[in-house]
Amino acid sequence: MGSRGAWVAVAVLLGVLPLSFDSVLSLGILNQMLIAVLFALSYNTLLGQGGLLSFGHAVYFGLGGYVAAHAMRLGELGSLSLPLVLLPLAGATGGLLAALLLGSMSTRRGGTAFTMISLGLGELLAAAALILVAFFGGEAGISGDRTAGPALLGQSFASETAVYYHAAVWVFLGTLCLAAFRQTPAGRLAMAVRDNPLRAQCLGYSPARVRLICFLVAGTFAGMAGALFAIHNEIITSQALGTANAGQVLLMCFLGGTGYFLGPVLGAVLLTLCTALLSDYTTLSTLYLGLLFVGCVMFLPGGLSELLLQLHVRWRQRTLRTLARPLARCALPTAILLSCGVLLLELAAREGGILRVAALELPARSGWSWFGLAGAALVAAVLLRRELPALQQAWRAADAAYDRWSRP
Amino acid sequence: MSLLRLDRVSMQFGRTRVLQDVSLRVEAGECHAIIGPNGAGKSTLFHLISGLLTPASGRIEFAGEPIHGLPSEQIARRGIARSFQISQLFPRLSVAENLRCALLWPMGYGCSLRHLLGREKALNARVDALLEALGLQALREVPAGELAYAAQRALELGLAIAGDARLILLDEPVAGMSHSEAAAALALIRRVTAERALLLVEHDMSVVFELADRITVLAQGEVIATDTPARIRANPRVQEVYLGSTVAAEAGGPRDA
Ligand SMILES: Nc1ncnc2c1ncn2[C@@H]1O[C@H](COP(=O)(O)OP(=O)(O)OP(=O)(O)O)[C@@H](O)[C@H]1O
Ligand SMILES: [Mg+2]
Repeated sequence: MGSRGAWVAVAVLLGVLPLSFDSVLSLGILNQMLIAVLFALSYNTLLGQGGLLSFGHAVYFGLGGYVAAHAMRLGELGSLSLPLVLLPLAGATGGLLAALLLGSMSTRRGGTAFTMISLGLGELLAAAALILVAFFGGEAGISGDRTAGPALLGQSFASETAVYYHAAVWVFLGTLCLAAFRQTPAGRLAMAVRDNPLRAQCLGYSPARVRLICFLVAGTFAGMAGALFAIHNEIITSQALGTANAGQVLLMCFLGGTGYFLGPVLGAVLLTLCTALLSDYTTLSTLYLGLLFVGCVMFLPGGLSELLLQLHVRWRQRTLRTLARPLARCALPTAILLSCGVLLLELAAREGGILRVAALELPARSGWSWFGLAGAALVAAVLLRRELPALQQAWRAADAAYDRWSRP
Repeated sequence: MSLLRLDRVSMQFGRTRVLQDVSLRVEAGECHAIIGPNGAGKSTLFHLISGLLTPASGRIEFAGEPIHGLPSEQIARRGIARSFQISQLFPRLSVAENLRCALLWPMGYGCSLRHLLGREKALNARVDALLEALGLQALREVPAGELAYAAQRALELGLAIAGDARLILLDEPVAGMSHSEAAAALALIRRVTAERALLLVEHDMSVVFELADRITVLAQGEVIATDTPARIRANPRVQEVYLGSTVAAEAGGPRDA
């Protein structure tokens, strides 16, 4: 995956990013992004590479986080002195051990059986986290002080910037490992088993074993991401283990595209950004993310990375220009349709009062706002229906030549 | 001692008996063909030998050791490679990648986490050699799922012959190929199986009579005869159940796609 130059560029980018955002808030968002990237990449090791759809991947993230939180707490109490920079390794070990224990049960079979077992284990662990108070700390979770451990090179991680660079180094290393895993015999065989377990078996590989290896790698790096999460927040609760978190990472991978190594990176960055920004403006962010997921699965099964790749290919073949006109004609109705939809949802979420957007004032109780918006949406939908076929045709016209380029 | 030995092997799916008391021997280095009408149980026999199915009764021995009941991957590791009548490829992996996967076990990599595939020169040289032998160099980066039918069959053959298996099972390797493609594939099969044993299922009689040292005729799940090609051709029972007109029209006999 990629050349040495690309990795150096990424390292440099990670190094200079905080220089352009120096407020604590945006550093916090950058941190969340990094953690999401590693978590999503580990998840895609299962989904994209191994063809294993899991609803319980948050378990390994959460357990890695608990291990790190306990280590921080013990550091605070003075009974353990592990430098903070090693906590991600402790989290990774936690993820690995949990994956070893649970994965040996669930990876014996792929497909639906695997998915159902992962869902069951996910629910089980989330429920257990509330009951087994000694380890999981009940509702309150486990909190610790990241500055309590022994300082390394005079660095005690009190500042947000130091925490960012610490996370950046680990996420970079983790990404490097996961990219390398794709190039190892085991990583390549995971793809083979994903494509055709029967054939892999007749070539001498045990599909169950290959799946388990893939699962262990995914669990290890999920645990590492979980530890970074615990360090960042200085607390971890049972939410991190739950199916909502597992759904979030699935959404990231789908949005970015599971077919390419960089797809989940794209999805994780965008989704973290959207979640952070949306929460300032609306209380409906989860609803929008759900709609985004449905839209993505329906209209963009290959995710954004596939879309970008297709656009890139069309650019290289100089067929992008033929798309410009139909695209422009679709843009306005799409924009109107989406904004009317959003406004309708926002109205529906209000008990009364007035919804103010720019110069627009929409009283929530008045039928006029409802009818006006619905009418505008309807007109836009009709227009879009008329314009869409031209766009689809222009898109497909370039497809014949496109095939040559579409290699993951 | 025979390399492969089947002893009174029977198989049934629910109540349908598909194979009854099939006994068969394949000697080391031999090319042994199995012929029989559609539905005779030839592919089922291959599934039994390669461990995808377990016989209802009977014994299967390879190199003197029983292998029935072992999982397929164990059987493959002992040295039995196979092709499928309906191509079983890795559709999203490229042609070169498919062949590389077939070589990982024979070349001792297994499920290693310590090697990077791009750096393994010996492995990649062997992939290149295979691509050339199969005539697939130009398609090396194409995902197997996007190949045309003939190229898929060539790759299917490639997956079976890639390793160092002592026994190769080929299920209708040239069905559906054009004359020139089939000729090239046959030359390749003959070359790579010169030192190995080959068990071949094929409907094209010209291919069978050209390659086989011995032929077993299977009809409705039972072995009717096992003999040299010349004697099989002359065997009245065989003619009755299967060959009939096919031998007469040997040159361009009916093909099964
Ligand atoms: N999984 C299965 N379940 C039930 N019956 C099966 C199954 N597989 C094969 N059969 C039946 O077993 C019989 C033998 O099938 P098999 O595929 O071995 O024949 P074949 O000799 O390979 O035929 P062909 O020349 O058409 O490939 C057929 O009657 C088939 O319908
Ligand atoms: Mg068959």
